[in-house]
Amino acid sequence: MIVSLENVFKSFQVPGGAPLPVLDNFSCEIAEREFLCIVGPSGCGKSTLLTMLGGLEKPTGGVIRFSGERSSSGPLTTIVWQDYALIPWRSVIDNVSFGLEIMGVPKHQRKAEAMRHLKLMGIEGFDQHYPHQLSGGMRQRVGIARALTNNPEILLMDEPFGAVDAQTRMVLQDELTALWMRDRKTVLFITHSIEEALLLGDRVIVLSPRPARILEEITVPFPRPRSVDIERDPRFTELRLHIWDLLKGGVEKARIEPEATSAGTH
Amino acid sequence: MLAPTDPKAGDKVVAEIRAPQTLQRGPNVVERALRSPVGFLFPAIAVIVLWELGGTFGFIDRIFFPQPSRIFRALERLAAEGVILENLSITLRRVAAGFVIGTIPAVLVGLMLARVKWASLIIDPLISLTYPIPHIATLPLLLVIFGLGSPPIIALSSIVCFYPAVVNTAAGVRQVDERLVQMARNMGASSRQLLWKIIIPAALPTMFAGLRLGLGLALLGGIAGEFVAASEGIGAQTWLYWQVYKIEDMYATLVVIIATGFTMTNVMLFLERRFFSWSKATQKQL
Ligand SMILES: Nc1ncnc2c1ncn2[C@@H]1O[C@H](COP(=O)(O)OP(=O)(O)OP(=O)(O)O)[C@@H](O)[C@H]1O
Ligand SMILES: [Mg+2]
Repeated sequence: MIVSLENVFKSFQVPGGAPLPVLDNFSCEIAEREFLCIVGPSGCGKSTLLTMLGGLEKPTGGVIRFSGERSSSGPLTTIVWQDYALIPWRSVIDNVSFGLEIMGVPKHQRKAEAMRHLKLMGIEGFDQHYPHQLSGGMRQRVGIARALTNNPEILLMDEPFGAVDAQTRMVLQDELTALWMRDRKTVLFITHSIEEALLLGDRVIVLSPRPARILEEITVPFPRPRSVDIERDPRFTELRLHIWDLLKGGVEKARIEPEATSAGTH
Repeated sequence: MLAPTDPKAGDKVVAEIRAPQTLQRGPNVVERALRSPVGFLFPAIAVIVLWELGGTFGFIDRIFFPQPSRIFRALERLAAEGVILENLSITLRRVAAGFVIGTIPAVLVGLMLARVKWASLIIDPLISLTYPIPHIATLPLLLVIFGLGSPPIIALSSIVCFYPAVVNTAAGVRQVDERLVQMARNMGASSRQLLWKIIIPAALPTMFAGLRLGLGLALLGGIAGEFVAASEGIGAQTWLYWQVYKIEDMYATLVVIIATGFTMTNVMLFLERRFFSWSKATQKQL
């Protein structure tokens, strides 16, 4: 399944103000079974892009097209949320099987599926716990297990490791990579971290400040399986500095052109 | 660069933090008793004992404030005659009817207020207009409409418990975490699934607190209605004993009313703690 965005334009109507452009003539393609990372400054429109792909927002202009053969039985997309979005009154197992419940899968079958993915994420002993009884890292494991249980065509991940500590983050990155190597699902992964993007992605798209435009698409040259050792590779340092320069350039540009940001005040 | 300093014998100590020298004493007997599960009873028992003694030694007027022992004897007598059970069951039936009749539409209206845009435009003003009225004041009107007996009492009960239920239901639905709604929509939930699997469960703790307040008010409405509009029921009985000046019997029925209200509220609180413990725990973390 290929996702193509053609001249996607998105603006938000703020009450009593000019429309706020968030995505500006955005065109790109996500290839079959690709792990695509997106980095961009805060507030540039990354989450908006993701919610549009997830069917929660409609573009103001342009098209988002999913084409090709389906390779999974689940929904087109499932989002892994930055703040987990777990249902507080449901136990871990009932959270993880929520998607299948919505699809009408019989109870024993969805529980078995959920249990399998809890095992995969290393939290099988916590199936009867409630979200408030878990640490941040464990909550996101539940969030990922829930998305995987859905077996979507495309996994949309919105800064999934943004709220966990550095060590947990490294462990989760490893596990996600291992899972992806196994399943080769198409993944769109949003992150603030250049290092994370280079470690995980086949490709990295660098965005400008709002309204988001593509500054550059970078193909990540490191062979898989990767480990944090790639950070010793001189090409890694070079790419990191390059992306950093792109982002910094965007930030400086935003500062010089205040009208580009003054439209939206929070 | 400064070398790290070792604490030497001669150094001046500026501050020191260490474990307390004396072993901390545990709570004493009185405190332990008050903190025990039945601890809330002890202050009440103390008041009753003082009241009793005050009567015995003539500090308290025994006509208007009969001693607890005498009230208890009156209660025993009335219970033995079957007066208590008979009248209490009449009252409870009225209160239950009022609660159900008031609460069901309240929950439906509350859900609509929060989810249907035009509904709130029409119903919101009506509710804010009628909410501040002391609803007990509608009793004469209800008497005109329904006559005497159970109907006006049930009506009053249902009116008073309607408001907290409607307001809390709407508030509960409006507070639903928008992220969960988005999550469920991304999973492909239909609007019916969204309502039953996300919105209603999320609103339930707030809604239920409204029902608890409503149940207390339904009892209040029922008793107040019985004072005026009925010759049966525990409220009517209390009123009757006042009129015929049977002060001890009046107190006995009051005790029954108090115990009823206390039980109702605590059963509801127990259910809240039992079923909605996730809600408090989640709020604490946010
Ligand atoms: N529903 C909405 N209505 C109005 N404005 C919105 C809405 N959603 C997002 N925006 C605005 O669109 C812009 C982009 O938001 P978005 O959440 O996509 O940024 P982001 O790149 O994900 O930022 P971050 O990295 O901080 O998560 C912001 O200025 C935000 O205020
Ligand atoms: Mg975001």
